[in-house]
Amino acid sequence: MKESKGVYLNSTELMNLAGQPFYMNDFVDACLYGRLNLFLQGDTGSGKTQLAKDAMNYFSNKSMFILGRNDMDTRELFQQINLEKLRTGISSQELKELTNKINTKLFVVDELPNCVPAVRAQLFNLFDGFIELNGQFYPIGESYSVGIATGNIGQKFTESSNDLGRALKDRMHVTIDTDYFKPTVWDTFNILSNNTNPRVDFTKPSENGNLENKILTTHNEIASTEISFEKLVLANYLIHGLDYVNIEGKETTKTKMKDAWPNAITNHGKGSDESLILPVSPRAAKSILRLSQAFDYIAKEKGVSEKEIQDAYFNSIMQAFKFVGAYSGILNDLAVRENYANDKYSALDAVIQTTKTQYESHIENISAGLQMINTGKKSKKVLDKFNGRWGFMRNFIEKATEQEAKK
Amino acid sequence: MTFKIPKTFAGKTEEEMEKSYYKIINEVEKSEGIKTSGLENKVEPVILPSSGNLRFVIDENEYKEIVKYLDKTFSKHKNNFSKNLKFEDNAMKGSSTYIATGVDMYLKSINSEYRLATQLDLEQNLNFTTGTYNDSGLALRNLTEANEAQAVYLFNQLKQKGISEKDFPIWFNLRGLNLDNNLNFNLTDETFYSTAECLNWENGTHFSKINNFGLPKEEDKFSTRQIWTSNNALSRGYLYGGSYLVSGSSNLSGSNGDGRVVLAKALRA
Repeated sequence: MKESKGVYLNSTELMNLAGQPFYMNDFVDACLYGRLNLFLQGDTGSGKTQLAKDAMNYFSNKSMFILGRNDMDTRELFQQINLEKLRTGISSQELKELTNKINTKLFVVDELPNCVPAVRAQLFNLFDGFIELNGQFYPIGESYSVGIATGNIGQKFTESSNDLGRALKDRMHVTIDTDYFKPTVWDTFNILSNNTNPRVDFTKPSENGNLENKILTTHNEIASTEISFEKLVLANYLIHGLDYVNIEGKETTKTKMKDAWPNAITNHGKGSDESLILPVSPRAAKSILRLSQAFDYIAKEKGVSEKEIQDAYFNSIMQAFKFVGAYSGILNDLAVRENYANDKYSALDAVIQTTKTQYESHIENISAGLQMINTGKKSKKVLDKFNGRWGFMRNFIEKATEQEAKK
Repeated sequence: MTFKIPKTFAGKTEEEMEKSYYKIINEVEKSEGIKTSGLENKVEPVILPSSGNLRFVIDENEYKEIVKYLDKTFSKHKNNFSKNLKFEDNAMKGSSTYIATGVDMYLKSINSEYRLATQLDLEQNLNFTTGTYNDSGLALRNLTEANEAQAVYLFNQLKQKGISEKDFPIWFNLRGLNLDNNLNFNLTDETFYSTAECLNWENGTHFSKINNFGLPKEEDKFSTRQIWTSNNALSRGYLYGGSYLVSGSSNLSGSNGDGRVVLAKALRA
């Protein structure tokens, strides 16, 4: 993949995996491969709509563009997707037949925040492959559907008190701040010298033409590929390890602390990631794993060997964590403002660095733990190596050993 | 289980995985080996009287005063203090990092001429402690492994004194430390600490000579004395059987009947 496959041009690197740079286009591809809803957050005119529009070309006539407006109601939305009959009181069976006929794979919603909550909710449902009517869920079309939405709602959109923020956190799997990764000077020289039309270009097709089959095949491959155990350990660290907190010698979890986090954390915890970040939810962990698998696939497309990809598992999953986590509401905004110049990605980089130290210092112990499982004999000495934020591995290893012993 | 337990992990071969396992198993078995090598059998049923500047708590009234002080000072943690102590065979039995530090705080509070024995004090008369174990210090090695919260708490105080992680590993005498109600260790004007490279020696390294604060100075393959180490963030440090220096245990509250708190006339901080 190159910096550009359509009209959108941006050679700013978002990340590097096994020596290969990843650009904004690669992230769109990764989300499509992984079937992860993508929210492009950014200022007006930053190119996010063009980026989403380019992705529509992959699906030819099986993509749909919806401009978010505050006067749009669900009736108008259903008209757009040829479901206007939904309002005329038809039977469930007829409804099912109607929704089955929808064969849109990619929904692009420009300026999603402009939509009223009822429309927004149906749009999220469409992204996830169904519509909801009178409490009933009706799947649409075939198994694959995904959404890309754009919007500019500033830094506060992840706040829990904000309805839109909550909805975005719940339903959009990956959020990228396009302002943060804006095109380079070289790109803008090229963009401006080629074309001075300020409108989004809906005409130029993708260089690669219709990629629908490739995306669907890749998605199936990624979804069915076994996740490596190393990635599972790291994902569980993000769920359980990051939840651990020690307050004045008393072990507890941030989840149990609820609203007392992070203010109740004192002493050393104040300066550590204990007060900087909440654990990820199991749902977010799934998104992280799926995105990481998609990154690996793209790296392979870029020429990286299977072995190199396997060796880069830590970076792969941590980069996925960075882009799923940064705008998911798990960061302590005050700490990010005070210690990281309000830069969420830098804050996540710091958490990743700590995680690396933590993980590397436990590789030996985890190896011993796995060996213990394979012997089927519990050793307190080995189990005692897992405490604090690694206590979750003790529970896992203990349980797995018991199961192994029963075999 | 919906997933397979792998035979390899993080680039380690099956053989290396096995090594990792046995490294831990052997590490602990070696420590246990101290007990099985006959030292337990050498414990005298009758407790030795005080010897020179060193002594145990052999006065029952003194024991009761200590228990009273510990119960009052660490009221939330009786299980870690008084409940791990008993007066039997004319001596107070039981010792842990917390108990030893608490006893030193008690002695300081009553301006006793005795204080908790330092490792250097213990080294002056190794025969005196044969058959017992005696807590004397703490080993700070990193900020990420076992007891990391207490390690970070302690290190934050060191940072204010210009000490950095480059100075790890650090040995602290328990004498002169102040334990708070949350079981965190606080430095006082009396606290002695120093970088001690021996704390990062390979587990089980043999030694004979000690340095000027009572820790192993250099390796001596022909000596029977050994130092036990680990990678814990904060470990307890105790003399075992008047011979072995154990600096690898993360269990700061562990105590049993072989434990003796040793007091010394406070000549050194």
